Amino acid sequence: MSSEKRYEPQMSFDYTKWFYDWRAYANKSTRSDGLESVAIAKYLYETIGVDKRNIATGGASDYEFVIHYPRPNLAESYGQSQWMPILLIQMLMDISPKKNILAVSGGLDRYRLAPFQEIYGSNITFLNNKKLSLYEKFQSSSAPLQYDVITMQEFEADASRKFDFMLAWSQDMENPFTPIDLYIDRLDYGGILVIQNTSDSVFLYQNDTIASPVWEYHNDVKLRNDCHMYHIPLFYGITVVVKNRQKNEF
Amino acid sequence: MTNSTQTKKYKAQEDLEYRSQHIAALLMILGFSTKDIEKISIDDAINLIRIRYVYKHSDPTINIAISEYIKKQNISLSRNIRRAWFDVQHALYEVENV
Repeated sequence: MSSEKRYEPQMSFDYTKWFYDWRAYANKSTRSDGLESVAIAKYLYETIGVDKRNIATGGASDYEFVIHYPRPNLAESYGQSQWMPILLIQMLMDISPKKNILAVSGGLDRYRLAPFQEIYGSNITFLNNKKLSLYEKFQSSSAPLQYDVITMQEFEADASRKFDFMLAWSQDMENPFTPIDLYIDRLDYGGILVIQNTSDSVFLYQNDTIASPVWEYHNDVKLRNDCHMYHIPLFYGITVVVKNRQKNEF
Repeated sequence: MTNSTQTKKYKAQEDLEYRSQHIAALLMILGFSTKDIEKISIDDAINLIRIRYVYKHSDPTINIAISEYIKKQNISLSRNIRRAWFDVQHALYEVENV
């Protein structure tokens, strides 16, 4: 090992012990994710004919067809950053298993959701959106789940319907018509909201302004007194919002 | 590579209605009326944002509050209109073809 490689790891995950063998998990998720991402891109841009300019503008970078899961054969220094959110999310469930999961971002999280059902018997509810549609078309056969669906109209209208775990991506929180407060209001006491890609491709930090909608929804959470928030700025960023265990806890 | 064997639960019509409301609301924020909505293109909307919410100033190393505010409006409107348009294109196709 040359001196400049001192901080590039040769091994990353042999010290993790979890429900799965990490190499088998990476192989399974990776092999399907790559092919399915290509199929989704072809469907969106060739079959439907969605405006391709959206890719470059950031306006629709919804990550339907990029690579989401770790590659066992890539340099592990790169793979580390992909493992971080997977292991962190799994660890949260291990510490405090949840029963009613809301999947905000559909198939993007299929390999994160599958362990919840397999290990903890959690009920999974998908929000009715494009990512659910793409999951059912392209991803469900490789990662089958038992699930219900709730439309956005139902989600908004029924304040009594609560979830104790929500798995989401940043772009779902940036819509002013479905603000982060809506999701936190639908969290049960003691519930957890996990939001991925919350560094906004590092724009949140590089820009040195408060111009990002990502800054805005983090600030909205800071204004609430019924939850705690942890923004972890590694890789694409991950934010964990933990709702108080009971009303007026703090 | 499509999965047609499992029962699909995605409700395209409800998704289309919901996302269409977002597009309409965003266009009204930009000043378009309900009469305009059928006629304008996504380019019209984006160009209007670029013309109206101009935030660059002479010294980009200095953050000026009004520039930050206008930049935030520009980014938020652009992203959300494009995402809503993306969602509407998808849901409309599903309603009409699937």
